[in-house]
This record gives sequence, C-alpha cells and structure tokens, in this order.
Amino acid sequence: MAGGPQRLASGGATIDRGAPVRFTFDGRRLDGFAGDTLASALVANGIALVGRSFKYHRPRGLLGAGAEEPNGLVRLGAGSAVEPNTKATLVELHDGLVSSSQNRWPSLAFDVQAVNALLSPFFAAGFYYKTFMWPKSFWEKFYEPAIRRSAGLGRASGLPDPGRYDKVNAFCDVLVIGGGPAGLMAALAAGRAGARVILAEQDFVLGGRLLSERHEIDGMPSSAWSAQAAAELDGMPNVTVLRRAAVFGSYDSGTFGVVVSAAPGETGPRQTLWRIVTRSAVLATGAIERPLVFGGNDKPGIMLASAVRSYVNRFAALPGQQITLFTATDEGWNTAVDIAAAGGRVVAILDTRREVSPQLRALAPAAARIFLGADIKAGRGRLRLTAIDVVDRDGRAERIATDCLAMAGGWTPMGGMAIHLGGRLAWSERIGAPVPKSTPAMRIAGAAGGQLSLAESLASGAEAGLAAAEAAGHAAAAMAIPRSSDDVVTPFQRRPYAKTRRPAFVDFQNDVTAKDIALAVREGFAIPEHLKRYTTLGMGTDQGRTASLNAIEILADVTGHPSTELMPTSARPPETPIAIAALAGASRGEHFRPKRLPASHDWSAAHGGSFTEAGPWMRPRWYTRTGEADWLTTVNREVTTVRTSVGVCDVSTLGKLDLSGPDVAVFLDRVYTNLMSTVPVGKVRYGLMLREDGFVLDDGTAARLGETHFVISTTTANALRVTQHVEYCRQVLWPELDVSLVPVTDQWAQYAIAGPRSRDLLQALLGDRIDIGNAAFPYLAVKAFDWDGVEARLFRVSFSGELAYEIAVPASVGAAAFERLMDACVRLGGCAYGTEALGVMRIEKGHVAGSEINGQTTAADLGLGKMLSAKKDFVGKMLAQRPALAAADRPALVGLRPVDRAGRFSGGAHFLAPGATPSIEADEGWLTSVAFSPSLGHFIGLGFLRNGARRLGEQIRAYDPVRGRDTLVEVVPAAFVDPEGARLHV
Amino acid sequence: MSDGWTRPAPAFPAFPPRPGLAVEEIVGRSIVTVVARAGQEAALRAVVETALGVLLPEGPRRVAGQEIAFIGIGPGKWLAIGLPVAALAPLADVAAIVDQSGAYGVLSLTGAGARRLLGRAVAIDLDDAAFGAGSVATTIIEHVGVTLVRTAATPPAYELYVVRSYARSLAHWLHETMG
Amino acid sequence: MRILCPYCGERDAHEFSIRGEAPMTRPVVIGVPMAEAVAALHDRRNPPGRTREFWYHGAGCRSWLLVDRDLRTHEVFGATLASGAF
Repeated sequence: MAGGPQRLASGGATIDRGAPVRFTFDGRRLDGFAGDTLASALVANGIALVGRSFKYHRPRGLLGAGAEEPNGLVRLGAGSAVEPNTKATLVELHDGLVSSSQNRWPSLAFDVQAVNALLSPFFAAGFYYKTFMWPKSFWEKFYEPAIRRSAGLGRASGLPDPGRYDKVNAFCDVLVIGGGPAGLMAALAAGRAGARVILAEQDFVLGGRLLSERHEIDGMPSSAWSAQAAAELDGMPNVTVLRRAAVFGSYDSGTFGVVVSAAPGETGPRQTLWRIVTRSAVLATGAIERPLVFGGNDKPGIMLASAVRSYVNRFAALPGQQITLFTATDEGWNTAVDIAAAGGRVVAILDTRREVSPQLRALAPAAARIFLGADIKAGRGRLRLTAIDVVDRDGRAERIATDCLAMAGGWTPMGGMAIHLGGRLAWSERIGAPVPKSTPAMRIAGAAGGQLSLAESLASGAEAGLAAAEAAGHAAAAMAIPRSSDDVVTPFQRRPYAKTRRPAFVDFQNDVTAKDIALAVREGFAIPEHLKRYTTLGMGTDQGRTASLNAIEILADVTGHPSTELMPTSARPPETPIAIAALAGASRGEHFRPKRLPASHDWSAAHGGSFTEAGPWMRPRWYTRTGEADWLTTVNREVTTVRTSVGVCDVSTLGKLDLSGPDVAVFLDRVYTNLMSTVPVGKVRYGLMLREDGFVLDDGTAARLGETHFVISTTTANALRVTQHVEYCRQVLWPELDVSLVPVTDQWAQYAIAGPRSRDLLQALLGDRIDIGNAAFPYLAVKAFDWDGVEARLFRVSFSGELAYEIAVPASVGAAAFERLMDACVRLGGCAYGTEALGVMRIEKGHVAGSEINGQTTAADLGLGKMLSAKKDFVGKMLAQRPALAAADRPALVGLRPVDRAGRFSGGAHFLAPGATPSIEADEGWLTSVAFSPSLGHFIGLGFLRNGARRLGEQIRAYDPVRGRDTLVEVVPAAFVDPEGARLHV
Repeated sequence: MSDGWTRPAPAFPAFPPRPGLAVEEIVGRSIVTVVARAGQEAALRAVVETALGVLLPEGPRRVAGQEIAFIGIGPGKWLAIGLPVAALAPLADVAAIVDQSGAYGVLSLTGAGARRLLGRAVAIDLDDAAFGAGSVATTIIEHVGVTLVRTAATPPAYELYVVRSYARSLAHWLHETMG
Repeated sequence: MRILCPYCGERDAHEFSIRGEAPMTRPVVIGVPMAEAVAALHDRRNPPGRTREFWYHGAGCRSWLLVDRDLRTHEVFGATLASGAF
C-alpha cells in the first residue's frame, strides 16, 4: 500500500496522496505522504515501538497525536544539524527526513539499560534523595559521573548549530492562540470586525480537532469548513496567520513569545522568535485527553482515543488490526464508530461506567463486545500490546487479544498560559477538571475553557473574538454561529483507581506510577507541588499534560481530600520546549554583543594592533612589531618610547559630555567634589564625582570652553553611568538650573600625544595654526582651532605623566587625522601605544583607574581626600562623612615594590604582616594594579593597605595563594616616576 | 593646505541592493543637536520659524523645510538636519547648539523590504497607522541606540541615525538579517 | 513589561533602567543634615502594590520619569516626566 502498509485506501483530511514522501526511522527506509506527521507515518507503517522510557527504559509507543506526546521523542537529522527530543507527533514529514529513536543502546528492540526495570524498587519516588546519600566521598567519583552518563533525554550534536535564527517584533489588537474551532471563530470574528489579528497555530494546518473528528459544520465536513475558514483568514490584510508557531509564554503588558519554525524546504531562518505585543489575547488551546491508569498501561499500542481518531480520520492510518476501546466518556465511543467507518476492526468496548444509555450502545459496531463497569487488570505484551486482561461489573474476567487499545479518560483543558501571570483556575464539576478564568487581557475560548462540545467551542470563540476586537475599538455586529453536528458532553464521572501490583503509569515521560504517588504521600509529599518535586511527575518536555489530573485524582484517593481542593502545579513559561538558539536569534557569535570601534581602528588593525574589550569598545592593547618575542617586549618598547620620545594613543573611548547654559558652573560645583566655577575659560581641571552614598563614582576632566560652556570627560567604563547620574541631577534634583547636556562621545575622535617630544610633533604637524609654546599654551590649557578646514580642539592634559596633549577632531575625519599624527610621530621616532602601555604609565604615576575606583572606595581611600572642597556642598559630601566611610584605618592607596627587585607579584594578592598566618583577621589589604615598569626595571604595584598613608617604608607580604606566590614588598608612595610632576610643565 | 581631508569618511560598508530594499549611507550630512534653554521653548519655536521657515515638531516627529529638517529626540531636544552649525547661530540665545555631524552614521532604507527588515530590528509598532511619514523613534536595535525616522509613506522610506562607533556592528547585523 | 514614556510612547522595559521608589517631594541631597541625607537615600516604603518609581529612559529620550506601577502585577498605570513634577 502506498504511504505505508497500515494506510487506509481512502480518507485522510490533511494528507496529500499525490505527494509521496520517503523518510528513515532508525535506518529503515519508509514511505509516507506530504501532510503526514512523522508519528502518523510511523503508524501507517505499522510501527508501534518508537522509544524507551526515561528511567526504566521500558518499550514505549505513541500515546498521543499532538503536543501532549510524552513518549515519541525522536532525534532528527544528522551531524551538526541534529535536533534531539523532538515530539514525533509535531514533526512535519518531508522527503529525506532522517529520524531515530532515543534513550536506547544498542538498539530500540534490545536495550541494555532496560535492566533498570528489574531494579525498579530502587528507582521509586525520591530515589535520588535516598540512594546517593553516602558515603559522601562517593558522590564526586562515582554517583555523579554515573548519573550523568545515564540521565537526560536525547543527546545534542555537540557541534555549532548551522541553522540561522531570527527575531521579529509584531503588534496587534488581538492575538488568537490556537487555530482549532474556537480559535478560528475568534480570528474570524475579530478579523471581520477590522481588528489587527495574529492567529498562532502550532500545527502546520489550521483546524485543530476539526481535522481529526468526523463532525459537520454548516452541512460540510468539519475539515472542509476549517479549510474554508483558513482561506478567508489568509485573505484578510489585517490578519496574520502563523502556522508552525509555538506560543510559549505570556508576559507582562500583553507581550507573548512565539517560536515560528520554517516549513520543510523553506529557505531563510530555521526558526524565528516572534515577540508579539497585543492589546488582548484569546486563548483557544483546546484540551487534551486523559489516559486511564491501569497495570501495564504503557505497552506500545495503547493510545489516547482522540489520537486514534486523529490517525484514522486525519491521516488515514490505522493503528491496529484488532482494536479495543477503554473509555470513561461518551465521546470515547465515537472512536469505535470512526474505526468501523474506516473499515477497521473493533473487537471490544470497555466502559468504566456501570450504565450507559441505549443510544450510546447503539453506536457500537456489531462485532464489538461490550463490557460495562469494566477495568483492565493488565496490559500484556513485550515490545507491543498483545492482549488485555479485562474484568467487568459482574466480575467476569477475560483475556482479549488486541494490538491497539484506545483510552478515553476525560479531558484536561490546556489553560497553562492563562496562569503564567498569576491567573487562577476554578474546578469545573461538569468536566471534572480545573479551567482558567477569562480576563479582559486574556479571554478563554473553547475546550481550553471547558467548552468541550463543538457548538460551545464555536460560540465561545466568536464571543471572545468579538469582545477582544471591541475592546480594541473595533465594534462589529454579532456573528452568526455555524450549525454543527453537536456532540453533547455528558458530565464527567470520577473513576476510583484500582490498586494493582503491576506498574500503572501516570506520567509516562518520567516513569511515575500510581504506586510512586502513594509512596510519596506516605513520605509526606501529599500536595501536587510537593509531589512534583519528589517524584518528577509533571516535569519534562510534555510538562505532565497527560499526567496532572490523573495524579490529582490518585492523590485524592490516597489522601481522602476531594480532588477539587487540589490544583495542578503552576504552569510557567516556556509552555512548550523551545531551542535556546531561537531565543538568541541572530545575537550570537559576532552579535552576542555589538562592538564600538574608534576612528583609528583600521589603522591599528593594519599596524599590528592586538585588541581588547574596554566596556563596549575594542581598543588596541599594543602594537606588535616584527621580531618582538612577546607582548611584554612590545609594551616595554611602547612605554620607553613615550617616556623618552613620543607616542600616540586613541582616547576617543572616554565619555564626553557637552554642558552649557547660564547655570552650568553652579551645576558642576554641585556635581563635582572640587570647585569648577573657578576654572578660567580656556583651562581644564581634573575632577572627581561621588555617588549619593559618598563613594567615588568617577574621575575625569572638565574643560571650560566658554563662560557658560564646559566639556567634561568620564572614564570609558563609566560613560553611560555618569550620563545617567548627571541627567538625574539636572532633571530631578535641580530642574531650576538652566543647564543643557548633550553627549558628544561619538562626535569627537580624541588622540593623546605624549612624551618629551610631543610638542615637536605638534609643531611639525600644526606649524603656526596654533601657538603651542609653553607660555601661550601651558599645562591644562584648552583651545579650539582650525586645522586645515577642520574644527579641532587641543587640550594640554596628561595621563602618562609626560609632557602631553590631546587633540580632538570630528570623528568623521578621525581616521585621516590619526594617519596624519602617526606620519609625524613615526618621523620623530615615536610610535602608537595601546591600553597596556597606558596602564603601565598610569601605575608608574600612581593614577587611579577602574581597579581602584571600584564602587567601594572613598576619595580618601584613593589619596584624593583633598579634592573634597570644604567651601561648598556637593553630591555625596554628607554621606561620605558616615563613620565607616571616614574611619581612619580604612585601607588607603599606597605604592608597592618587591624588596628583592627581581621578585614579582600580581593584582589580587593580599597583604599580610611577615610571619602572620593567613586568615581573614590577618588581612591588611590587597593589590589592585600591578605592572612591570620598564622605566624602573622591576615590578610595581598599587594597592589598598590598612592605615596605608602612615606605613611608608614598612615591609609586608603580598600573599597570593592562587598563583602560589608570597612576596616581600615595600610600602612606598603611589607615584613611582616623576612624583613632583615636573615633566608636565616643561 | 586642505588636500580634501575635511571630507567625512563613510561610517558603513556598502550594502548591495536587494529586491524591494535599498540601503544607502548618506555621507557628510550636517547634524546639529538643538536643546531649548529652560523656559525658552516657545522663543526657540519663534526663532526657528522666522529664521529657518520651519515649525519645530512637537514630540518625536520630523518636520522638513526647504533646507533643514528637525527631528524630535526628547523633550525640548531636536536634531537639526541639513544646515551647518553656523547657520543655526540665530538660535544660540535660546538654545544650546552642538554640532554632531561627526557623531552619526546615517542610512536611508527604502522599499517594501525596509519595513520588514526594521520590523525585525526595533520593538516598536511600524504599522502605517502608528508610524506613518514624519514619525520618529529613538530606540535600540540589538543593543545599539538608534533614531529611526519615517521619511516617506510610499514607497516606505526611513532614515536610521546611529552613532558612528557602532555603525559597523549594526551594518554586520543588517547584512545578516537581510539574508 | 512596557512603559508609556510621555515623550516617546509605549516602549519595552529594557529601554529603561529603574532607580527605585520615588519620594513624594523632590529629593534633596545637598545642604541637609546627615539623618535626612541617609533617609533620602535608603528609606523606602516598598508597598505591596501600587507605587511611584524613578525610571530613566536611557535608550530613548534620556528623560527621568515617574512611573506609577503595581509591584505585584507589573501593571503600569502611567508615567510623567520627573523634571518639574515636584
């Protein structure tokens, strides 16, 4: 038979018999049709065994036909594109699909770890907590590796994912979640009213149960009606229909997460994350059927009755030759009707109820035997169901041969998404299940809200769609509800759970049995949330969709509590498993974090630059020259060149804020610890800012370009933080001050020119365009000038401690300016220098940086106490005087050098008195910054030492157990090179 | 001696054209931040109208005159596009005038594909009803701050302002997302 | 969560950074005695419900906002510019 041996000769709502498809499962070449799922194609090929269970490695077959599937987890693809843990029921079959079963070795039919099943007494509820407790030393060496080897579901490829992922932002008035009868009606109602609608359906075809049932709507088969509705929706410009779209979470303010997968063969991203913001949502996710709990209810071939109807009606695949039905509901009987109509054989119908109506009995196929008040004592068979042991209300016991049993145990509404944001469920006696409540933000329609019949579904969908559209301002006339061949819902009857010696599974995916639940209760875990943690019931990729209500009923039986007082565990996102890659979208590799590049970047890359991250910026660490053996050689050369000749460094990454207005000087006096109102026009002053709590926020410079115009600089790392702080001061604290703030970090490319020959360099480059003689342009001068048609600014500031300048030009000509500077620099024998040389020189000068201004240090700690002006108040002044911040014995900044000059130490080492035993109590401070100083020929460091200022000349230990060092060091003033600053003023 | 070095460098690499989407850099455009002094917004409005013949937009909108367009980027804050900073001198008594021509890279995105591409980029509603011609949004694309301007309704045309240092990262992302 | 910025319109919360609960009157940080400075920085009512907070629209118009929000449900009732609000 084309499309598999178990394929029916006709029928099948979604399969395309004109499009045969070949695929493989565990290496077997098989046939199916386009429109099949992998699961339906396996059924059509007579394959019942699809996987092994998680804990006991029991043979398992398909239980469901949709998102509820706990057993049929497969691995798709090969090589790096492999995707484990995919539900076969959701995989759209396509030509060349490669699939394999999981959780078995060496083969599905013969699995070594199935021995676990024999050991099942040891694997009962809570076995992790009980078994691996002792001896303690066994944990790392034995238990953990052993558990890791055998635990978990499928395996990932371990290779980079070759797929492309993307993100989309979308906005709508009404998001309809689910494209079954209720969802279609909701989307039609809202769409016809003119609202912007997005309909998201997990399946690749709209229709939901309409595709799987033989109902009629408006006189046509329900699947034809749904195709017609889908066509109308596809044609509406204000409606977006997303197929293959898994809505996985409901978030604040009407935001939903949806992962949309590409159709087989579609080019472009493999999956796209849609972030949908909607005014309101309609939840129409339907309900899924409950299995019945009995001994051996997990044999391959035992399925949900609704799944059997899906395979027969939607896919024309017959799941067995001798089918039996085990039902607790009226609609279960439809299964027998549908199988018979398709030409299949129903050998017996078992109803758990003691009485059923004559009309129901009349539905049974003539050949089917009927058992009322029935129970199944055991499902039999090894790799496939072969028989069931039945007992009925009269005690009649019988073994019936069967290869497929359909179970109908009532319905569980899929209302999880309604409680992501804290919504509540209410118990419905009518359907014997908790259902979510509608809110204006999320209206519940159809079976998700307990409206189980088709008529109820259609009506509640239309009502919800209209109400949602109306709430978004799109009024519409009431909508005609199509007539449907109604399936009346008889109220649900609880079925007491018979005790059985055989494992009767409640949670198939996690191998949790009825006995495990009873055991958990005996051990004190007697409410659903505790039960879940203790037994793992409800965890895993199916999140207990088929398990939660049966667990509650058994819990009720065991504890004597009414089940209506027990609520299922809270649902949280993700509602359905999604790939991490889909969440990342394109934000991986290069785009994990965007990079900022200064204008000199290309020059640096072409001249040996090796780059490092500085906040979001990429900065050159150093510029390697041919023949330099290691980075230290390079950095030593750069430092020595600056100290003896001249070097150029890009400092554009420092934050720059343009502040102007009549009150700008008053404002800066309040923001900085030192006075800025006294800075003359044309001068720069070093400044310090405190946080409100009195700790140091940042340091930088303030350059006064005009009476009411400053440009201030921040450190690279703190640029955004300082901007936010200054905006807070301006907008919140003192809105009455007239000050404008414009960030100009990107406007200006700024280059430091440092070294005794820096003036020569500028002289050669700028000639008489600006007078840079020491008298006309002294230390801390600033001046704007015209550089051959470019507006430029020159600052005489120094971070290296040498005679130095910074020149700023608009960043759009920054690359050209850097080349000009480097031409002139190289001609003088100078070089470009990177952040490492910059760091060495600032440590040689005792200038603090990020390692010292770390958010835990005060101005006094940094040796900058004198910068706290006594003449005025400023942000943080009062709180900096709190006792703990002002304590005299706080660790304070000192310089350190090894007593044996050949010795070395590293940042992070802690200070100990000679002879002290290392302990927290003996700790006297720590090293923050260390460098090899080529100027001095030995290592130097900065650190915070208790009472530091009064301990110059002392010898202490820099104790560094991480690197195995213990170095005797001498406490010295923090400035190692030119401590008087004479070089700045030449 | 001006040897042409004052010519601004492009901030972006070139974007090859794609069906329904043209992405081009606008190089060398004058961009000036204008911030009204405290309590001077009405005065600024009057000066802009008389001196430049443009009505300053309220809120995040773009208003274009003959030679200059204003883009609202915050309360009392605009980007003035098209005229060099010197031409804005008449505004200096009532506003801060700060040249930012070097700070931004500017892209023009045109065509039906532009809307689709930007829908992947920004978390704001780009529907015609919500973001028609003249709309402005300062927001982020993949962690990068941008100002997005809808310059024309049909075919959809946008301008994207991004600080120069981030231009290449953004370009790389656009290249990948354009496919 | 989405916040209706009075200038930019409705935006996702990740464009903003939160500073915390806002006092009823404008915070004063200079020229006040120690006890007041400490209280201004640290004392919070932290009510289980509706409250007013400082948020900064750093990725948008760079305005400091006062956002009226329910801490339990994350419902945002409105936002105003902090400048001139006190």
